[in-house]
Amino acid sequence: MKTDSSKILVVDDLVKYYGAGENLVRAVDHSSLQIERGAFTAIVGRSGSGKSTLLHLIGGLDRPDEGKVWIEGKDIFSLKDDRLAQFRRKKIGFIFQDFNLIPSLNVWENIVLPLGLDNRRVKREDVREVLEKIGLADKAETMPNALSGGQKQRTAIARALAARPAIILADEPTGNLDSQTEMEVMSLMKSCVTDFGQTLVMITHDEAIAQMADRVIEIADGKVVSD
Amino acid sequence: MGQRGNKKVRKYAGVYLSFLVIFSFFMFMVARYEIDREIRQMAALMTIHPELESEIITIWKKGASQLPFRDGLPEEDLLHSKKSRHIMKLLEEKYGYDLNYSRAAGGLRGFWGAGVCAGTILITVAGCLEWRKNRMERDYLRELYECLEQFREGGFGDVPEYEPNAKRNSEEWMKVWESLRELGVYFEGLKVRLKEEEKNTKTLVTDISHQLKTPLASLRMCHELAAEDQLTMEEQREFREQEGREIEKLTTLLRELVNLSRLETHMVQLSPVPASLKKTISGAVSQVYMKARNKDIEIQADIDGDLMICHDEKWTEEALVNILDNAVKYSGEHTTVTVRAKPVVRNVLIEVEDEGIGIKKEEMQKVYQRFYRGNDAAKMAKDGAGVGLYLARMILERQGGTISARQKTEGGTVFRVTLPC
Repeated sequence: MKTDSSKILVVDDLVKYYGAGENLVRAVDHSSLQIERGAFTAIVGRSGSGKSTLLHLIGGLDRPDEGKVWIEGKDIFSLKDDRLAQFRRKKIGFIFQDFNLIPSLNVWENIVLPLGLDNRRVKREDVREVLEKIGLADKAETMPNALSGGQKQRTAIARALAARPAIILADEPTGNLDSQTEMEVMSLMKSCVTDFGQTLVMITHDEAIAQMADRVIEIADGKVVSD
Repeated sequence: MGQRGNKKVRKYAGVYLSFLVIFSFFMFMVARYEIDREIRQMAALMTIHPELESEIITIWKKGASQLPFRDGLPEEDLLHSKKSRHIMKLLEEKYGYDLNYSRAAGGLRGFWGAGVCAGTILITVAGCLEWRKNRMERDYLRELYECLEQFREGGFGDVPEYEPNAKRNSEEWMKVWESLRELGVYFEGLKVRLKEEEKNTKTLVTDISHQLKTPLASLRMCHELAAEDQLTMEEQREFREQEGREIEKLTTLLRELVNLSRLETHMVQLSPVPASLKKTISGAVSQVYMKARNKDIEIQADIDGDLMICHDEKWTEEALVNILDNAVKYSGEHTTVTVRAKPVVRNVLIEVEDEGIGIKKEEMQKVYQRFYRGNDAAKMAKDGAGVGLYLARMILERQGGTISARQKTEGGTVFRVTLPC
């Protein structure tokens, strides 16, 4: 299949089942979608609808039973594990519900860690710019356990942005935050995505957050039901 | 290729020739040094044993390999003595130098030949390697050229992926190719965006003319009815009033559409400058104040100090007016609309809360669409083109802000707007 390269992400007929027989779970059941560069897409669905599994597959964190994912025209599952990991670090930024910060590293170190893993030169000014944008310029030396929930998530956003990936995947980024902090994180995320020209795919069950997206994709029972 | 190939061959021949000359000269020097040494040693021997002169000469003539191991020979110091110099002179006179030189050189000729051969092989291998490298470079350049040709013809997205092959492709080349591919993808994106913008403009023109048709038709109807002869004065006045209202509506709609098309086609650029948010919000509130008073709706404002943020005053006010206007329009009489503003990290959060009809869950996403009007909203207020929230969202997002609405459990809607500081 020839991919349309204006689409930064193409998901083609993705399938992932867990278990067998009676316990067979169709986590992702023949899902296809395409996402354009620079777009902010929200994936909504009830819990257990398979949206997280879909996001993990898109991000190459897991391999599907069938189907393909192209990111910037690259068929990611054609890559061997180590090359896939490298591709993931370079091209995909992840933001998780539970932040996934390394507790023994300070904010700055957490942000530059993925860059260091690939021996990419860390441009101090770039990281500073991201920190400035995200409102953590004075927290660079702070350890994660001294941060509030919102600040932790902002650190994770900064980490995703610093690598200047092709696409940012966020799994319920405001799931653990209160309503006010949620606005704080979302507004920053949205303005950063705009400022840095990033493409964002975000899982959410929150109606109000989905409204901020340019496009909303609804998932139910592992299938795309509305777009 | 021919010209350049010849040049290469000439270059290699030149390098080889100079190698030959330098190597030969070096070998000649080595030979000379060897002979000198031998003669000096012989002279030393003859100085000590003048009686053995003829034997020594014989041995020497046979070649160095047949000489007995030389032990206990006094060397250098003797060479400079008067006697040794005399013997050397004698040797020169008796046997001649030249003959001996060529004889000694003969021993080294094999060595010289080997050196020349090794030189030939080395230079050939180097030449082959460079030729291969050149051919690969030419291949790379050809591929680059083909790719650029393809770009010129508009095929940006078709840059093939390179199979990682460390043997054939150097890392630098892979990097070049990767960025070329990324550039292609980027251009393709631009191309698609351009096309989309064009399409969008076309739809906008169609939509706007469609929006203008209905009010214009009712205005025409009023006008035609008013022109009828059999009407009483009372009826005529009624139609004229109706006409006036239709004109008013059309004017409002036209204003909205002008704003919309200006923003949409980027005819106006938003220019955010540091300004008082309080002033902007008060400006917006005062624009809907009369409407609210007519319905006995109270507008409460709760603003945290005077926030100075970077925003385009005129257009931000327009966005807030649209949100407030909706709040007033879709709320019952004797209710309250609350406006709150507070800083949140590097953003300001503005909330507009009403006690109105609310927005249905399935319409939440759609209210920001151009010319979309909710069912309940259309029933409640006849006027309105479904432009307000669309415009508000565009204005806010262009400034890096957001807008989202939430249905309150006790009825009514909260619009939450953020703007970066």
